[in-house]
Amino acid sequence: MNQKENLLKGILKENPTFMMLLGMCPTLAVTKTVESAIGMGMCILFVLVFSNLIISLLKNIIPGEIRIPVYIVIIATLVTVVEMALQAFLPSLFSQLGVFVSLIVVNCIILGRAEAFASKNDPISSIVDAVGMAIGFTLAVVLIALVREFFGSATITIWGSLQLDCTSWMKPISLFQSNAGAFLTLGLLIGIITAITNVIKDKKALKEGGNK
Amino acid sequence: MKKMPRTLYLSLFLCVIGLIAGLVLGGLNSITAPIIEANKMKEIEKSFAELGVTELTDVDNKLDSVVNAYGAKYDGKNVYVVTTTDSNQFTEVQVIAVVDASNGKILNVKVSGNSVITTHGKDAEFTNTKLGLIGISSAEQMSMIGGATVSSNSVKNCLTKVFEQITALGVEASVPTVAKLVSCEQDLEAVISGNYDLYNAKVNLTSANFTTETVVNLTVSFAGGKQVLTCDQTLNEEEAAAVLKAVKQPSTYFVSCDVANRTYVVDSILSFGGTFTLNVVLNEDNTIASFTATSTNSNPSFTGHYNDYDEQINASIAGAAGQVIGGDAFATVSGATVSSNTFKAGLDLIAKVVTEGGAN
Repeated sequence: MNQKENLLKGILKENPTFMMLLGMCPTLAVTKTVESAIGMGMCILFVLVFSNLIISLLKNIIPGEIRIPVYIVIIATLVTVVEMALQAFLPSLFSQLGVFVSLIVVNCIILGRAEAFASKNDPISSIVDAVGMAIGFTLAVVLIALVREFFGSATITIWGSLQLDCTSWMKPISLFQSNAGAFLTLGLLIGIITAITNVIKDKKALKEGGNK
Repeated sequence: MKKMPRTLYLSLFLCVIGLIAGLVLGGLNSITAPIIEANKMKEIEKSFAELGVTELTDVDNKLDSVVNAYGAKYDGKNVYVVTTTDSNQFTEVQVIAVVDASNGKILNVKVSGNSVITTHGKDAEFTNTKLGLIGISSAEQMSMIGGATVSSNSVKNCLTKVFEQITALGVEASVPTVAKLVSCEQDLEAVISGNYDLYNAKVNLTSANFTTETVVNLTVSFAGGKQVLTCDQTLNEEEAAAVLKAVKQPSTYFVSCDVANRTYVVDSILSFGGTFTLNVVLNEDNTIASFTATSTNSNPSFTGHYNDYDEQINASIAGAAGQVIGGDAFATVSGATVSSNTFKAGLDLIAKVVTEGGAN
């Protein structure tokens, strides 16, 4: 697999949210606003890139019997670094994300990539894989957040300056801001993406069949 | 050389990984901790913004009885900001006091309650007011508000905790220079009956000048279109302020007037409905051209006892127009005589000022 495929697989084919259904807890919890979704995406990117890099570098010296505890120590350390940095430099984002920053420690995407990819591949491939997965996750949560914030509050605000206000011509549907709305939006988007993927697959199969 | 047991090796490996993680986090913590602390203080500073304190710092020896205590700057002075609460079956009162670190005197204060504080006045007498709390250095120096002892007691309890905290912080309260009011008697009936010569106030006072309780007699007369308050003792500025504060408590009226425009204002009438200002404009023949009663409270209701009382009072106020100035111009509203009587007394007082001193 070349690095381009390695990068793209996390964004499209193996998208952690829409295809592998990993990391559902933050996906549902921090997608009320686009701002917090981007923030969570950046946190995942940092932790995933550095955990993959460190684990890939240490893969030959970490004893197999204790690899999972060691991965968790590394991931927990990186999450604490993110937590401290957010608290110090972006306190408003930290208060928006709340406990879900700490919960990155037990995020399946991070531990899953450490175990499934970084522990078996070289550092460069591990970083590319991490970037792809993190971008895939970020795009997914931002997409969900766009739908929820737009329909839920009829506005989209990103760090106060970028603002789309549609309250003059549409009424907010509070369901989208609720927990049930998060599940519904995720389900609908997974359905749409799966349908599109199936159509593409069918077309591809037809094309290949025609060529034969 | 004997090989290290596998379990020991694994344990050591985990220890080393943990140690490295600890070192990384310890290093980062030493960088971010002061920034996080500063952010927290900024947030708290925002919540204290209306009190005008800046440069908040934490203090170590916080008492359990206070919610929070901080060091800060106020108007260039070193101060302590202490937050306390007190609750009872009626309400919860919160007091945020800015106390001078050099002498333990309150420089600024915010008193708030989560619901109606007084049972009589329908509005919180202490809410968002300072009511003579500025300058005191002990809870005992606070004047209690008659008829609303619940809130007075709550505020006093809060202040007691504030000063306990201030003492714990090593601040020695200066000798009180603010006069302490023991009691105040006023002859409201005399005012209502129109016998103004008997309208005297007696204030019991202790201060640096008066080490024992001293009765200060006050006499009201009228001159130059104004009330004149005469005292039988020589008072310093703080004592005079304390006496004025006492006599401005319930049922005391002060008249100011613009003789040229024949406009008379009776200020700060406190009745069951709260505090009112009466504004009366007279015609040349001393009949009432206009009469308004404005509540200085957030709740403009006159009283909560009777549903239609507001309408009756408003009708009496409207009916006063065209009548000769005096208490009789205001038709009594039965069932809530205090409000009626205070309004009547206010109009009587204007009549007295007009006849005795207004011409000057």
